[in-house]
Amino acid sequence: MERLTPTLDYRKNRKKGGTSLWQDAFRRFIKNKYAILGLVILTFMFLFAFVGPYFSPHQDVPDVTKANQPPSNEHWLGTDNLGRDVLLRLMLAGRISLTIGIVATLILLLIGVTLGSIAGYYGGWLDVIIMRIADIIYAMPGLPILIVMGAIMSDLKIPPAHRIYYVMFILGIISWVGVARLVRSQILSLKEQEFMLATEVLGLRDSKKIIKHLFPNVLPTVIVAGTLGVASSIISESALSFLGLGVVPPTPSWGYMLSAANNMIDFAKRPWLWIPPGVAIMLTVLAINFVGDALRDAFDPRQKI
Amino acid sequence: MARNIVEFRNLKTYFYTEEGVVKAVNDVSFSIREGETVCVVGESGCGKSVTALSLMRLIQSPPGKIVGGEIIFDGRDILKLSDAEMRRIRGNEIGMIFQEPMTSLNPVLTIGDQLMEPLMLHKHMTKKEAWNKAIELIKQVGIPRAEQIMTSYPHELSGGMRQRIMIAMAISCDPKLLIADEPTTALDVTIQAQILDLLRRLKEEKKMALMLITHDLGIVAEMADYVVVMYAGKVIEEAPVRELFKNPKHPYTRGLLKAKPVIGRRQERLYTIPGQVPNPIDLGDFCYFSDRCEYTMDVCRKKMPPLVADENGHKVACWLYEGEWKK
Amino acid sequence: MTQFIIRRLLQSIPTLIGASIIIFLIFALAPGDYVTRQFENPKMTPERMEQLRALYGLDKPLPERYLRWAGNMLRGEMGDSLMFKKPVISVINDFIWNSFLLGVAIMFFEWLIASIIGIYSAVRQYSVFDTIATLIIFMLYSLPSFFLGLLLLKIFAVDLRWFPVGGMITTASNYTGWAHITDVAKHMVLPVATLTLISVGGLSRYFRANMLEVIKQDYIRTARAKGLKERTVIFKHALRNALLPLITLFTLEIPSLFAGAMITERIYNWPGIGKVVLQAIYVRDYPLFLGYTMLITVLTILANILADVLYGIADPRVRLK
Repeated sequence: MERLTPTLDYRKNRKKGGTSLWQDAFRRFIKNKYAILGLVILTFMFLFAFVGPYFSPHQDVPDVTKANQPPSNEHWLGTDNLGRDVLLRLMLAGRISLTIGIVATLILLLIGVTLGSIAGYYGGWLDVIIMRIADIIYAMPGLPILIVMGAIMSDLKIPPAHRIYYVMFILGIISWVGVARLVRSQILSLKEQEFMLATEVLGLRDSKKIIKHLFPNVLPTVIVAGTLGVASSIISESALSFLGLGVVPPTPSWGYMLSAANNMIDFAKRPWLWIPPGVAIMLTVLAINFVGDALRDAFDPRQKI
Repeated sequence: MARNIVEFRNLKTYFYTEEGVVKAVNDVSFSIREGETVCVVGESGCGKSVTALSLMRLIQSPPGKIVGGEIIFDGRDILKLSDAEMRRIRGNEIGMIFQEPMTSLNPVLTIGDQLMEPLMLHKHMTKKEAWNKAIELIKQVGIPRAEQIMTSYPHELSGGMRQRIMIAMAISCDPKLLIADEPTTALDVTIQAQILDLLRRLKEEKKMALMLITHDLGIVAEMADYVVVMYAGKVIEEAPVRELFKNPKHPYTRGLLKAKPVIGRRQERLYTIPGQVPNPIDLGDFCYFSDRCEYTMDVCRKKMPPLVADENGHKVACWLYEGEWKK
Repeated sequence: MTQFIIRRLLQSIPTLIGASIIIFLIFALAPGDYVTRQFENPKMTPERMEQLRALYGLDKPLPERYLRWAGNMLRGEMGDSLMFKKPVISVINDFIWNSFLLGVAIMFFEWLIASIIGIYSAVRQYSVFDTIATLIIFMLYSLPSFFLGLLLLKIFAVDLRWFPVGGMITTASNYTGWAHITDVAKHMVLPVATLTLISVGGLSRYFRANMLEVIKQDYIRTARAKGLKERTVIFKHALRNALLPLITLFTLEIPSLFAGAMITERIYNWPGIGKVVLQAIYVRDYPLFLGYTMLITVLTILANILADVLYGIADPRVRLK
C-alpha cells in the first residue's frame, strides 16, 4: 500500500528489541517542547508548595501589627489582613489545592474506570443501569450542585479540618461520567477486535482478559483523562473555595485567597492579596494542560510528521 | 512513432523526516508515449506512487519536496509551472484515480456534485450541461440508473461502483493521460477484471495514455504496452511488455516473476525473494538490491549501476550486463 | 425520524425522574432550612418556628414533599420563591433574559473567533500564527473564569475606567431607546469578554483538530487531483466535514444560554439568573433553586436529543440509515 511518506524500516538500523507503544510514546513526549516546559513548571509548583515553606523566614501565625502591608523586601508578596506573609500562605495553600486536585482525580478515575469497564465489558442490564446513572448525573448542572453540597457541608457544621476530605470526595463523585463513557466506548470497540477473540480462544478468565489485555489499551486514554482531570478539579475546588464553600479557614487554599477580591477595598487597593493565587492556579493548570496535550499526542499512533 | 506525452528526466523527490532524508524517488527517468499504457511495477515503498504524485505536484510539502530533475508533460516542464497553471492541468489534461475508493470520495457531497465540479471548472459548463454530461459519464463507466446515482452519496455505492465513479471523474474532461495508482488492489478479484476492462476500453475510445501503477504482475501482463520496474526509488529495468516477460534481465525482476504463483502448477514451496527492502533513509551509492541478490559481486556494493539499453530498447541497471561483467 | 425523537423523549423520562429525586434530596436533606436561616434568633420560640414551617409547607415528611413538588412541576407550577415571595417561574422569567443576553453575545463571539483561529491554524499548521495562537489559547483556558473576570474588572474598570464596574445599567439612570442600548452594551463588554476569552480556547482547538483530521483524508487529495481551487478544497470539501461534530457541540451549548454563569454574574453584579440562584442557595430558598435546576436539566436533556437529531440530518451517512 503506497503512502505519501514511505514506510520506514526501523529494524535494520536499530539494536535488537522492538519499540513498544510506551517507548514510542515516551520518545515522542520528550521531543515536545511544551511537555518539557509543563513538567518543569509542575515540578516547580510542587516544590514551591511542599518544600517552599521550609525556606521561608516567616511563620504562618497572625500578627495584626503587620497587617495589610504591600510587597516589600521582607515580605515579597506583602501581608494579608491578619499580618501573615502572603508568599508563605501561597505555598501552604498550594499544598491543599494540589492535593485536592490529585486525590479528587484519583477518586473520579477509580469510579469512572471501574464503572466504564464493567458497563463496556459485561453489557446487558449492568450497562444500562450504569449508563442511566451516568446520564442523570451528566444532565444536572454541575456548578450549582457543587455549590449546594458546599452549603450543606457548612450546615452540617463539618469541622474545617475535615472539609478537605469531603471536598475531594464530592469532586470525584460528580466528575466521573466523562471518563466512564470514554472507557466504556473504548472497551466496546476493543472487545470486537481480533486479539480479544484470541484470548477467548485461549480460554482466559474474565478478570485476566480485562486486566491483562484490555486495560493496557485503555490506559493511555485514562492517563490523558486523568491529567486533564486534575486541572479541572483544581479549578472546581478554587471556585468552591472562592465562594467560601470549599475548604475554609484555617485551611488555606488558592481559591480562598482569591476571595479577598470580594472585598471592595482589597480588590482595588491590595492586588497582591488576590492576584498571586490566580496566577498560581493559571500556571499549574497551564502546565497540566501542556503535559496532558502532549501525552495525548504521544499516545496517538497517527503521526503528524 | 508517437511522441512522448510525459517524460521524467532525473526526477528526485525527497522526504525530510525526523529520522533522516528519505529519497523516495532517486533519479528516475522514463517516458510515456501518447496512447500508450505504461505499467510501473514494484513493491510497496519503491517510489512508484511518489513518482505519479510528483507529476501531479501533489507531494505534501513539508515533509516532501521535489528537489531535482524535470517532468515534461506535453512539451511543458511541469515543475516550472505556476500553481494556477498546474491546477488547470489537474483533472483536465491529467486525470488520477487512487487506490482506496472507499475513502476517496467526499462523504457529505452527492456523486453528482462531485462529478460536475471538474466539468464546470475546466470546461466552463453550465450546471445543466454538466449535469447531462455527468449522466453520460456514469453510463460510460457502465453503471445503470444514472439519474439515481447522481443524487446518491458515496456510502450508498459499493467499492466497485465507487471506483467507476472515480474513473468517470478522472476522464470527464478528456485528459491526455490517466494515472491509476493501484486502482484494483482494494477490490475483489472479479471486480478487478471489470475495472481493468473498463480502463482498457476507455483508453481506446479516448486515445488516452495510461500510467498504471501496480505491484501485481498479472495486471502488468494484461494491460501494459511497456513496463517500468522500480526498486527503492530507482528504475532498475524497463522494456516493452512481451520482451520483459520473455527475457527478464534484472535479478529482482526475475525474482518477481518467479514469486508469482501460477495457476495449474503446484509447488512445494512458494518462492520469495530473500531479505527485505532496505531502509530508505540516507541510502548511499551502491546497488540497493545487492544484499538480496544471488548474483552479487563486489562492485555491486560499491557503486550504483547505470541504466543502460540494449539493442531491443530493453534497459536494465545491473552490473551483470555492464562492461567486463557482461555475461 | 419522528419515531427516533419520540423514543428518545420516552427514554429521557426516567433520567428526568432520577435527576429530580437527587436534586430534591440534596437540598431537602440538608439541615437548616429557610426558616432556620431567616428567622433564627433568641426571640423565636421553637413552636413559632414550627408554625412558620407549616406555613411554608416545610413540616411534612420527605416523600410527601417530593411528590407534591413533582406533581406541581408537571403542572408547570414551581411553587413560590421564598426569597422573593412570588412564583418561581415569575422570578426566573425576570432574570433569565438578562443571562440570555450575555449568553447569546458570548456564544456569537466565541464561535466566530474560534472558527477563524481554528481554521487558519489548521490550514497554516506550524506557522508563527499557529504557534502564538496556541500559546495564548492555552493560557486563557488555564485561567479560572472568575479570576479572569476579576482581573479584567480591575484593569479596565477600576484602574483605567474604560468600562463600568458592574451591573447592567448605570445606577439610578433612566435611559430609553438607543441610549439604553448603548448603556447596557457598555456594561456587557467585560463580562462577555471574560467568558468569551475563557471558552474560545477550547473551541478553537476543536476546530483546528477537526480541520487537521479532515485535511489528511483521501477525498481531499482527490479534490486537489481534480484541479479544484484551494479555496474550494478548504471551504467546500474540508470544512463541511469538519463541521459535523461541531454541530453537536453547538447544540449542547444551548442550555448554557439560559443557565447564567453564577460566579461571573456575581462578580460583575449582573442581574442574571445565575447570581440570583447563587443567592438562593445561600438562603436556602429551595423552591427557586429546585425550579432552576430542573429547568436546566430539562434543557440539557432536550439539547442532547436535538444534537443527535441535527447530526442525523447533517451527516448523510447517518441520515439515510
